[in-house]
Amino acid sequence: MRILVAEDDASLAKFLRKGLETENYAVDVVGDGEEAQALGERYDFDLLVLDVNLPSRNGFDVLAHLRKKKPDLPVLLLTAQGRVEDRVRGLDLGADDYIVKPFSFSELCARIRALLRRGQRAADSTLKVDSLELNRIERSVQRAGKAIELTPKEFALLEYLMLNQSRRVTRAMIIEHVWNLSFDTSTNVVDVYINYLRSKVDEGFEPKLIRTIRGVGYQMGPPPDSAAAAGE
Amino acid sequence: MSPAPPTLRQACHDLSQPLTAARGSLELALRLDSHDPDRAEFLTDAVAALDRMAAMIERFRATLASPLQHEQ
Repeated sequence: MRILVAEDDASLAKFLRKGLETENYAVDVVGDGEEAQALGERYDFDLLVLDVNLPSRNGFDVLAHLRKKKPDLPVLLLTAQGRVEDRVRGLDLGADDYIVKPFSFSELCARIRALLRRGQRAADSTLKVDSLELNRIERSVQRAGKAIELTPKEFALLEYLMLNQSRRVTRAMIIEHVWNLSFDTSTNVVDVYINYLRSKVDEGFEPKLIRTIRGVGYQMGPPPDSAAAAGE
Repeated sequence: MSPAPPTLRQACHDLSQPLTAARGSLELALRLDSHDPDRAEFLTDAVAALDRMAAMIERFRATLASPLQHEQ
């Protein structure tokens, strides 16, 4: 899951990034309204956390603009303005929820989870590839009925691969969705994490589901011959 | 001329930023084991945010030669 955070207060932005990363999300942070609008329009985020008081363009303007371009993008407003008229304005402009500063991080996470749940059809909450199952709500993984413990980053990587099952995904695509836009794409971190995942979800099981596509990247799914055999 | 004192609304708004950061950083720190290096970083961030709050409160106090402006 990929979240864009638009917050101009540096310390708040830092804690939001680190906190949400510990919750398995890939997080991009911007500090002004123009940038929030540009990134929100250009990339596919699963959710936008939007501060109302942003430099260059305030959150209400960003929201109004993005709502026209991305009607399905869940938006959670962060506001220090507890006035009823401000909350009404935000919701009328298309925000899905708001939270007033100072807020508890646990409450923020609960609201994010609720918004993401609302956006997912029930069928999408569980991803399945062969005997591997990932529950996006409970954030659990099992293969052939056996529970598998994953770190937050491993979970996010597996979720992205399973969402794109049978499609080839490049390392750049993985980095963009699982890490963030500013991540150094020249590192081998994707390969390292793929190895971690393989040792947890493929080792001791057949068929192997995480396949390397030479010169491209990776693909999730049983090898073509095993899929054909299973269909016979 | 001394700067105009902040309105109560502005003072509350300004304080809510570091208060959220301090509270959130402490929440995150409490989730971690005591030897997790991230815990020390979250605690450091929380203290920095509290220092910012203290500095803000000091600034507000300094402007309180006249009472805080109450918004109409």
